[in-house]
Amino acid sequence: MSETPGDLLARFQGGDEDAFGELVARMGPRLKGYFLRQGADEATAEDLTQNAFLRVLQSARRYRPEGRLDAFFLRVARNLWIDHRRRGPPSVRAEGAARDGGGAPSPAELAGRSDRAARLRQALADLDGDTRELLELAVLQGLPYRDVAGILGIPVGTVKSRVFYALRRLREQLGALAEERWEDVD
Amino acid sequence: MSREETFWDEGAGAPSEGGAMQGDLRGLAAELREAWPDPSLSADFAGRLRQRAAAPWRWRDAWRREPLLRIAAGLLVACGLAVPVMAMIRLLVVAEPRQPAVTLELPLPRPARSPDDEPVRAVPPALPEPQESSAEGWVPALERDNRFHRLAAAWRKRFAGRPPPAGAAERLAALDDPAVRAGLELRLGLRTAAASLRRDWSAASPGELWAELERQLCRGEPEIPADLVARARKLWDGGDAEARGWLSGWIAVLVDPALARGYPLPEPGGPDLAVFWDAARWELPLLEDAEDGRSPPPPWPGPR
Repeated sequence: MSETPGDLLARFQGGDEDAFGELVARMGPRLKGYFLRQGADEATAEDLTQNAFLRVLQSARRYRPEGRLDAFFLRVARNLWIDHRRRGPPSVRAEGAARDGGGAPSPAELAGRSDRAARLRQALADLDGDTRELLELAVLQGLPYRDVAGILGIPVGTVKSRVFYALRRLREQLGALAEERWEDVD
Repeated sequence: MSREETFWDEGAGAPSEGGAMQGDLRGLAAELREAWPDPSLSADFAGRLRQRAAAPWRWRDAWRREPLLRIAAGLLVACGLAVPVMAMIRLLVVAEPRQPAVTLELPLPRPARSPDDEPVRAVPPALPEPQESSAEGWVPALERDNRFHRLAAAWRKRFAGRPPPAGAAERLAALDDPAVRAGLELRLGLRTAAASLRRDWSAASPGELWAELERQLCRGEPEIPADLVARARKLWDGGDAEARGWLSGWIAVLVDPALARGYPLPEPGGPDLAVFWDAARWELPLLEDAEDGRSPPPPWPGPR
């Protein structure tokens, strides 16, 4: 049974340096993906990801082991993103990079990437910030509804219904362009 | 619904609109996940993170991270500014000090005292003892004391501001230890001693000559006419011990203090003022004037 991020943190706090590396490997990409999908560019996403790790390490004593560490990380990441946006215009990635999902795509990735995927990314980026964030936490990060509700400060039932309607809106945006492609995916 | 229910749990989802709808949305969500996967980290990400985690504590980072630090700094600045501001306010807006009802002011510096201002050593006033007041000679005794103190004051006046003659310390000590009887306070305005109205000393008595000597010493500007000197010498040559006591001062001043030794003032217990005359002799200039009969005293052949 693989260790949870909380287990890794506990090992790291106990002096296990290897646990730190595993924690970075497990949570790093998720945090970077969060920042990229929220609108940050590559460099800012990595910088904010490091800030999130530092903050978690500094406030490790406030982390309750019974909670999910990934939810704790994402709560920290959300706060960092809000602070970053307040300090000035977000370091928004170039429009062309939005479809690439951040980072230089490899030739294989480019070859396998369909227009639909690009439209999906674009459709997600076109959503309003709250809806995008909701989809990010509940769908893309896979956090439990309870944790999403705690992070966003809304009831669990509201989370569930909003996720449903967000996906419907996403689908409607894709509807006209992807009707025939939808059948291909299936 | 379990507490850990997620979107991806079987059967989880929004208000049901039928299984197909939920399946479509789940499919769309899966597509979305595949369309935008989590990116990889840069190669040096972990290394840089370790360096930052091990970085020393910096004020800038703490300032940004800790709101309590900013609050504490703000309070510190406010307190630091409050002190000079309050000081400035106090300087600029100062209430008039209330005049105290009673103040203790240091006296102005006392003017320099000249020898003329020095009073004679005051003798505390006291009532005579009954046996003293009824005894004969009480008044003369007072007069004797007064005379002595006048002489001491005059002597000190002479030497004020100047180093006294050799051995004067002993003489001063001797002057300070007279047989003084309690009497009236004596103060002399040494400058106010009136000029002698007497113009003919040829018939003066020894006591009158003594009084004149005292007056001369107190006045500070002695004028010794020739006939006074002649009269003093004449009376000394022909006088008895009592007369010579009254004249001892003149003889010591005019001739030789050694001659005056042994002739104290003719009073019981009167001090021997030879030490006084020995010094005073050199301070009294003689008046030389031959026009109105005040010729310089002839050489004195000395006592017989």
